Amino acid sequence: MSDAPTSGTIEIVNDLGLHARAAAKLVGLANKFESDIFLAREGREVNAKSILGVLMLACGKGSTVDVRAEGPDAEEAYAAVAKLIQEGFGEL
Amino acid sequence: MIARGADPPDASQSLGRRACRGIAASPGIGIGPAYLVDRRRIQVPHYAIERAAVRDEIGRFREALRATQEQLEAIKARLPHGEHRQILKAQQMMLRDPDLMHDVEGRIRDQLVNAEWAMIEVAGDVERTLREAADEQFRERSSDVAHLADQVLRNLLGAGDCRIDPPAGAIVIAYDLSPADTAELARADVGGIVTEVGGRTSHSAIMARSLEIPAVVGVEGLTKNVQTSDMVVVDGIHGCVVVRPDPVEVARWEEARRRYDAFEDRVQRDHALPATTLDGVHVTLRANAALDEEVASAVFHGAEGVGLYRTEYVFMNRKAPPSEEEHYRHAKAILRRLSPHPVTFRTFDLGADKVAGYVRDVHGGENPALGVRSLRLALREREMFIDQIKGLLRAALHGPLRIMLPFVSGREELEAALAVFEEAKARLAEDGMAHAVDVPVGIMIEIPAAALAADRLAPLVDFFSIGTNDLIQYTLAIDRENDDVGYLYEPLHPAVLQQLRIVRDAADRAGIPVSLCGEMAADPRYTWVLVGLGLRELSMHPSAIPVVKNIVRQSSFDEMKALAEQVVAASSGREAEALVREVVAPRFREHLEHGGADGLDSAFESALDADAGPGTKT
Repeated sequence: MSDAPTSGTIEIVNDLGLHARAAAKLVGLANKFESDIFLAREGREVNAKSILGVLMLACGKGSTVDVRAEGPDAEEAYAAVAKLIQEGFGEL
Repeated sequence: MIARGADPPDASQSLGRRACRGIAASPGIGIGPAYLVDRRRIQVPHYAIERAAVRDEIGRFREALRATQEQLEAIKARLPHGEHRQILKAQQMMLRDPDLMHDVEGRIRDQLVNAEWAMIEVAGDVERTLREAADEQFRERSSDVAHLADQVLRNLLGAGDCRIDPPAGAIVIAYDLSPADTAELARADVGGIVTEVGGRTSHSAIMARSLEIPAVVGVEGLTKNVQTSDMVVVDGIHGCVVVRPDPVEVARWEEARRRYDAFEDRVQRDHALPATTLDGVHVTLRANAALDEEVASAVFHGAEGVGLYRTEYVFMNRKAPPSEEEHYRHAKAILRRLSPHPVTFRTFDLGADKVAGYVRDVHGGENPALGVRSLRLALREREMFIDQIKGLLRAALHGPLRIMLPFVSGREELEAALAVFEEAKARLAEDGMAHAVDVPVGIMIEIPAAALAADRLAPLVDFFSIGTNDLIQYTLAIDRENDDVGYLYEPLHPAVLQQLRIVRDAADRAGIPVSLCGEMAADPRYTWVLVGLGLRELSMHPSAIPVVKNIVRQSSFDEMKALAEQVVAASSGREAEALVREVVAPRFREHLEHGGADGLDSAFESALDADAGPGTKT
């Protein structure tokens, strides 16, 4: 048992924010994990495996999202998603 | 579009003349009555269902999602790379969205309503949320969702409903046309297309170019100022639209159209003449085709056969792979239509961005463009591959048929593919089926490895065909769908030209023909360079043939060769491009312009702007 985190708050750093292509990347990544992964912003929580959900968060640059993973591979899932967002979806 | 709650059309519009600017999307001038596409009139049925019918209703919804998925796939596969494909990809991802399915099916189950209503309600919530977003790019996505919902709705209602049906000669005016709408336009003989949204790479623009319909996109606010049957002029060369022009102006536009069409006729008139240079070098111009309309267009534009027949579409939009018999009949019919010219059938190039529903077990991996696709997939789906080859070998008895293998990367892979031919022949002999035994088999050169090692592959095959789209993409390591690296897309990059020479030399040494079948072949800018490099067969979109042929007929091989030698020595792709521009632009200005702004870089356009045609000042 490790104590790696499964949730946290992350800032969107890339210029375009969580736009369509970034959302597609995030959903593609989320779908590789068995765990449920949720993103929340301003009281709305969505399924990170749903592209419509992720788009509806309308996260622009500078906004923050709460990421939470639940399930057998929650630690890896959280780490991977957090890394993708922190690295600006490869767009920096 | 299903924009419930949207503003009604502005009733207080002025009925005078109105000129607007937009983006020239497909060249040509169209003059005719407007046909306004108003998607707001779609009635969404709303009725209660029995609890016992819930299962069937959910089944109907899933079937509509599946059908929509395949329609998008088919449309996407027909389009060149670019932004529009990104949008289709995102739409396809939306169709697989687990929340969308969960919510719609939940509504059907809990509220006992029909699938159409449940779907429209869920999609409506998504659209509304997106429309309220502060950021414009999220607001724009709401129209993608609306189009998608519309298409699923059409599938639920059954084909035939909600189709746009403009009369011949009409100018189609819409806020936006969905991919499905543009596919419908393929069937209608419209005079022009104008949309409020979209850029040069929108579906509407691409489809218009491929159907040779004059089009202008990005004309804001137009739908509120036009009514069906108003007179409209579309200038797809300069990007102008005039609504309700006065008679004097109409006469002026008719003159401009006459001149444009005269050039079109002039080049088309030569369609039956050989593409032979002034000094007697013949260049065989063939068509790339996949669809019925393209086969007809190939014949009309004087193609000497089909240099690339894409068979993927025979595999798509269906539940099981085609049988040997279907391949046989399909190929036989195509041969008959192009007789006496040859047709090169490329075996299925599925995978990466083109999928068929029944091949689901193969994962594209992290990077599908480098994964199991095309020939690699064929060698895994061996029975599917054998059936296709058996069908083609049988059809070869009915005309000059050639078979081309895509995406070959090396010798062993090619040998494995050729072994499949032997097995196909053995099985046909066993079944006592008549078939041709001497069908020419060639390969696409589209992977740099195959280009650089072409001399190792040449002894095993009867011809080469260079697929420049993929070859350029893999050589320069750029994804053309990624706009951020689009500036690196340089067909005249020294590394690309070098490979063209290597392939040509390998083919010459082996005594086999080599053709070129990428988008580069259709671009009037590159005709001189390609022919000058020694290529004697170019295969392209059929509508590009007359212009390319006209260039060939007005040029001497010597001058083409001289330019090619200079270009090959250039130190960069840009420098090469500039050399070409200097020589080709002044001599073939009309040809370059006529070919549409398609593929013209900005430097080229500014060279042309200096002498732009009439209508620019309206």
